[in-house]
Amino acid sequence: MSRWNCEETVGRISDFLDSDLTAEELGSFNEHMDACPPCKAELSAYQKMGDLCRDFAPLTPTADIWSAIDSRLPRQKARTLWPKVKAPRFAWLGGGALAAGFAAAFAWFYLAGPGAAPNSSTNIAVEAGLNKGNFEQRHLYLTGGNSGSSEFYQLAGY
Amino acid sequence: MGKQELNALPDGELIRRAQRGEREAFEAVYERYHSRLYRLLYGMLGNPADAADLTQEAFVRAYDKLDQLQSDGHMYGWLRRTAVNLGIDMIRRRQTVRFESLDQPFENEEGGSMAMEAEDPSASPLEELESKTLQAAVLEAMATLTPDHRAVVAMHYLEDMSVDDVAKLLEVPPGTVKSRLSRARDAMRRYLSDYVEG
Repeated sequence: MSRWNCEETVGRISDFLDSDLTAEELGSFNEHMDACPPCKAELSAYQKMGDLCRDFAPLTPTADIWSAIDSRLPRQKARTLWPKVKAPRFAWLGGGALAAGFAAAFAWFYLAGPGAAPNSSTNIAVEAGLNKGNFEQRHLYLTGGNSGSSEFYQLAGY
Repeated sequence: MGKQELNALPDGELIRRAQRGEREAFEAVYERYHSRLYRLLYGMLGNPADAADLTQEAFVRAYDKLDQLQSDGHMYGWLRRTAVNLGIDMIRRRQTVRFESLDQPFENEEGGSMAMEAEDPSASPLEELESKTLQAAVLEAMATLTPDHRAVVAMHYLEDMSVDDVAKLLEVPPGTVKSRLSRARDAMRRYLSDYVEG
């Protein structure tokens, strides 16, 4: 065990208070304290200082903080209508697949659907058919029928 | 359910009831913890009006987050973390602190006048005077510290938090807390020499 001088010992008081000395250091610290009244008094001063802080009396504001809090709270705590359900781990994959499906249908509708009709007059006819609410025409759009063909126009009543 | 019965309930039950919309249950949580929170904030900020305002703010935030609080969780731990973060934000915004007398009335956020009491119901007038003198000295000593050092002292001594717990709350390494604590102790020990020597 190494012998510590006063400076070393006092310099480690904070570590001692934080129980941050190794077993060997603690031995040196205690050995010096036992033999050195001024350092012991210094340690005692630090300990008293800590006690003063700890004994800091409980403080209570006489004013009613609760009234101020109460006035800021909503009258009725909002309650959740639906129970919170934890989403499965890969739930986002389902959402992604659904979004991709919609995107594909959208693209097909405009590229392979009536938008791909050969000329502008046909487009007008198709739009007119839609406006009339022609069921067969809509059905062909959705089932992937060749909207640009003459068959389509016959079915749709053109 | 009466106030006394509510006050006897554990935190978890109070949180469950408050989550169901029972305002009285939340008030019981307030009754249980506001003094402790206020004391910590007063130690950190050195100003009764700020401590009262942030105590208020911490409870309002707790109410807003009630649905997220676990009924088996530690209510005070959550409140303390919120209060410390609010205190640190305020300290950093201001970077100065003025400790005010315990006897002096102060104005709260709404402009109302408030006074503050140091609780010691058993003390004689002389003991009370000594106690107030000592408290004033401790507050003055804390006022000499930097905001970061003061926050660490308040948490460690007023809240009896370990170095590791303070470090976690402040999100700094334990060594930083030890170093701040050591410097703060040295400064306070020097300032309080009349009270701690001999």
